[in-house]
Amino acid sequence: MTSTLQETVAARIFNGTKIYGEGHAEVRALDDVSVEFQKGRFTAIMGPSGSGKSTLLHCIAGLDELTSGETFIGDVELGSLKDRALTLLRREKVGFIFQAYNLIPTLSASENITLPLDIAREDIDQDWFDQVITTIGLENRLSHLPTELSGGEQQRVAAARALVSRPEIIFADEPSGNLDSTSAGELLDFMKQAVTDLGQTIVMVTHDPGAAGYSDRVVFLGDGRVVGELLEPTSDAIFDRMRELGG
Amino acid sequence: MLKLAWKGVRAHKIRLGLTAIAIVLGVAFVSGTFVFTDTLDRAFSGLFDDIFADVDVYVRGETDFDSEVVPIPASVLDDVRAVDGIEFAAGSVEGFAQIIDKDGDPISNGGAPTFGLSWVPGAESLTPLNIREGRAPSQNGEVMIDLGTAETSKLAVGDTVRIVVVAGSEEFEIVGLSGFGSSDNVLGATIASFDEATAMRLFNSEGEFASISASTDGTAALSTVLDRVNDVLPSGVGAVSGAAQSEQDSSDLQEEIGFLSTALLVFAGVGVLVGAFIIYNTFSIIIAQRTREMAMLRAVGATASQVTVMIVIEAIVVGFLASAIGIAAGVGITWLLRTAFDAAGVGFPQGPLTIRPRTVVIGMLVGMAVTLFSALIPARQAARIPPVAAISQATIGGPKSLTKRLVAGTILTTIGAVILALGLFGSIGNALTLVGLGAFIVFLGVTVLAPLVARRSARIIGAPLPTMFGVTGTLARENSVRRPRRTAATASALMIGVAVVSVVAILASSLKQSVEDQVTESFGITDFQIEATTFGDPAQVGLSPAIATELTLVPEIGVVSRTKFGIWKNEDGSDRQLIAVDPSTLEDVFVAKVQTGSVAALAGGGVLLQVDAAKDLDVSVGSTLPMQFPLTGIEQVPVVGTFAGEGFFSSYLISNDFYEERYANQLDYQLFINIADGVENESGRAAIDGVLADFPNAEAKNLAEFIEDQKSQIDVLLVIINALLALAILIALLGIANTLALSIFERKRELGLLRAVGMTRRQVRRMIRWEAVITALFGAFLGLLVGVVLGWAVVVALEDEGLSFGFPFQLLTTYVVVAGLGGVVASLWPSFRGARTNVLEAIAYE
Repeated sequence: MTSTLQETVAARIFNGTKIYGEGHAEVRALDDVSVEFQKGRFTAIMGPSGSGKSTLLHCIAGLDELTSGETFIGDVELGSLKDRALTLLRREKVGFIFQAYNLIPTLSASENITLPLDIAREDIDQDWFDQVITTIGLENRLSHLPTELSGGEQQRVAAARALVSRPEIIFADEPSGNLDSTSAGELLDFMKQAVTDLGQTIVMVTHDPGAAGYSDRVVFLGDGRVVGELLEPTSDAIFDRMRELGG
Repeated sequence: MLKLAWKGVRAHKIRLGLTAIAIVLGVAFVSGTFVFTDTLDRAFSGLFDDIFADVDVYVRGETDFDSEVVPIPASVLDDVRAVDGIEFAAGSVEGFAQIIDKDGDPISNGGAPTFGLSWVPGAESLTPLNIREGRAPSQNGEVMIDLGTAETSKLAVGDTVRIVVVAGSEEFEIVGLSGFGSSDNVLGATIASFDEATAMRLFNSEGEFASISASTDGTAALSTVLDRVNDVLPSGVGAVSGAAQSEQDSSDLQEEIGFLSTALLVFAGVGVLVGAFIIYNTFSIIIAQRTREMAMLRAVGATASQVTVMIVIEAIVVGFLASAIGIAAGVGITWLLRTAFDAAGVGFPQGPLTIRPRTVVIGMLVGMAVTLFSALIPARQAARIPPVAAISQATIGGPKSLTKRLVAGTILTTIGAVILALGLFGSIGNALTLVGLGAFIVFLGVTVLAPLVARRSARIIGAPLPTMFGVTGTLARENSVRRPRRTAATASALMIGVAVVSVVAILASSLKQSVEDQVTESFGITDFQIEATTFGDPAQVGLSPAIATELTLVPEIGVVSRTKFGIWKNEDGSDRQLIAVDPSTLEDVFVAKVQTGSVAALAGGGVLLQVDAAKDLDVSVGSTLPMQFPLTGIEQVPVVGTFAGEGFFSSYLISNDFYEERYANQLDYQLFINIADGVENESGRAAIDGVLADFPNAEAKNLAEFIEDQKSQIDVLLVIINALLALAILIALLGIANTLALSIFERKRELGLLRAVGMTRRQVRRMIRWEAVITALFGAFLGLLVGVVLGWAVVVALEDEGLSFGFPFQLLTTYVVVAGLGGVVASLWPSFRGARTNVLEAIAYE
């Protein structure tokens, strides 16, 4: 059982509780949450504002600490790690796509993509790099600076950056939140491809049922708890469930 | 607006606080200078008040020369005593008396004078000296020394000390210790008191007094008594009231303190100037960062001028607070300085520090004016922010016309260079002021031009970084040029400091080069040179003439050529230095390069002039030069020749015999010695050292040592000046820290992203550190460039004075390295902050 867990689970959170503030100002962002994220799956986390979905993502990704409970990436428990070990773990095993400000303005698109590898001073797997670039469709924009790219292109570069080091898991926080529908569609298509064709694992936080429709599984959050789950969802099914949950 | 401005200050406490430190340091230097010199000033006038407290009438030889004491015939004392209304009168003999400590080293506290005085029994009320321990000296072989010196040198009543005087050196038994008023020591000076007869013998003053002090019996008005005394005095001797003499003496000193004050203020000015750059830069950055706030103000109805006024008020508040703190810091520094002096044995007069209203007023004015002026341009920038900036991401200003910048910068630099050249090569107005103003404008011009080259320069300086540190290095390099104007302004502050130290380094190096060249050229034929190790005015300290006399008797020594040092006054009243030489032996030791006339002709009494000086004064062999000497007044001295050798660094040579009749000071300045033919250098030196053993304040050096010694004196000066300029560099580094901290603040999100994708804190710190180093090196190279050109110009201007350009490659390289290290230090805090960036906060979407 344990061995299969390690093989198939890319990340998990166990009895995770996160409390901000104290006394009357206390906010329970996560309330005893336990979720697993399988390898090779595209999972969406949904929920209304304040449901704790971003907090969940940050805690699993090692950007924030739980008040109590445990989170794992692979079989590494994050709570016990110091800043340096956490940083190295993020560098080696985690990819990120944020809603905004994903790229370093002084670096070209290609430099931004290889940034995690360059920071780690690791060699670039050229075949993999080429494959990622082809999938993303940015072959001709590699030497451009971020300011010379459209919003959609910027997010695709960010996605490519998340992929290039072949992390165990990629966390995306509202990646299409700032994009028009066409660009959003392109980005999400690419993310889905990364999972189906390239075998990557993605966990995405979104409040957009359309975006969540690209995923294999949707986890619904409300008031810091897991309140439901949908497998192989359609946008409509997600939309209905959201309405049920009052989101 | 006032309320908004106040909130603005409070909201940007840390950022403005760093700016304020720049002002605090500058103002502290300015006010510290005033407090220090005012305190010295008061201390000295207090000192002279003490000395002349009970002296009603003071009789002394009349002279225009500060450094000379003209003796009075002893018989005058009886005449003064006989004057109706005089209660008591005593003559005083004084001279050079160097006390030697138990280890055989001369006691000298940082160049403080070494006085020898006569002690007149019964005249205690006329002198501030009093007996603290033991008794007064009453016969030959006895001395009383001051308590302070006795304590620091561990001497006590009953000890025997050697004392060097003009005639040689002798041993004395300490019979008493003296105090000065209520203190044990006066400003580090050593005071040795002898009985009158001994003093007259030791100081070559048989039958002569240096001065006569007298008290009145109160039967007549002081002015009446003064008139009566003056009636009985021979010509060349005059009487004044003690109060007047006190005033005179302290005003002479005040002049010197004034010079010190001016010099210190120049250095303070450099610091303040550098501070101005930093204030300008900080305000610019803060305003850029507050674009939305300003636009919002405009959107809700604030006028452009209201926005300007708000920033100006912010500047005034910061300037006011910082200046006040600066003044307090200046007082604190002076207090520390005095404590340090006390610890070093230089008795700084006690009593409160003198804080005159002028100190506070000027400190406040300087601090506030600099802050205000520096904030004016940023304040106007703020006013130009359009209301629409509140809702759009538009950046203000945008890239300004590069051509305009190029033209403006070039014009400024050229104007500066022209003013500088006028100061250096022209003959109008105050040369120093022109040079300073020119340099200032050149600095401004280069600062305007700097952004044009900032990007390229930083890329070149940072070229090795990507190879060394991978993407961390690339990011550091790119970050340093992201805002070329900001980088350039930050670097410019350092540029000023580095430029000034470079000029000083080049001057020092050139000076050393010239000294070496000229001494080698002029004294290449000399085996040894002897000079007093006592630090002080060459007109007052020197070698006992007995040394030369004794050396002449040593068989291993072939030639002893003695020189003396003196000040004479030109027709226009200006002081000039002359060297007295021995015409019969001079050319054995000195390559005079005589052009006309001869050295031998000096023997008949005349002056030999350096060729350029002769040209300036328009005299030649056969004509006469009007020279004023301390003892004889103005004389028409025949010009007996001209010479081109520069080794004496004096343009006027007279003979020793001629000198002796015209100066009271009879100490030798330098001795030049050639050992006898066939004698080994080593044994010659041993013979010299044998004689010098009795004269602890004299030291023999061979040519190489002599040159080294001269060079090391220049180095000491270099160190002092650099220490004073360190403040400007410190302020500039503070500027780098400040700009960096502000930039880090702007890049919070970017840093958060880098941390998220795996950049370690150490890598973040490294990235920020190298950004600082690049900025610092850019400033250092700019400074070096400006400094070398400036230094070269100054040397060329002084070529007539015999200065030749020397390039201190090693020193300048050191400066660049130090600047780079300074960048590292400046980055400490910003990089710490940057590495602590909260990733979540940074990536949070607004």
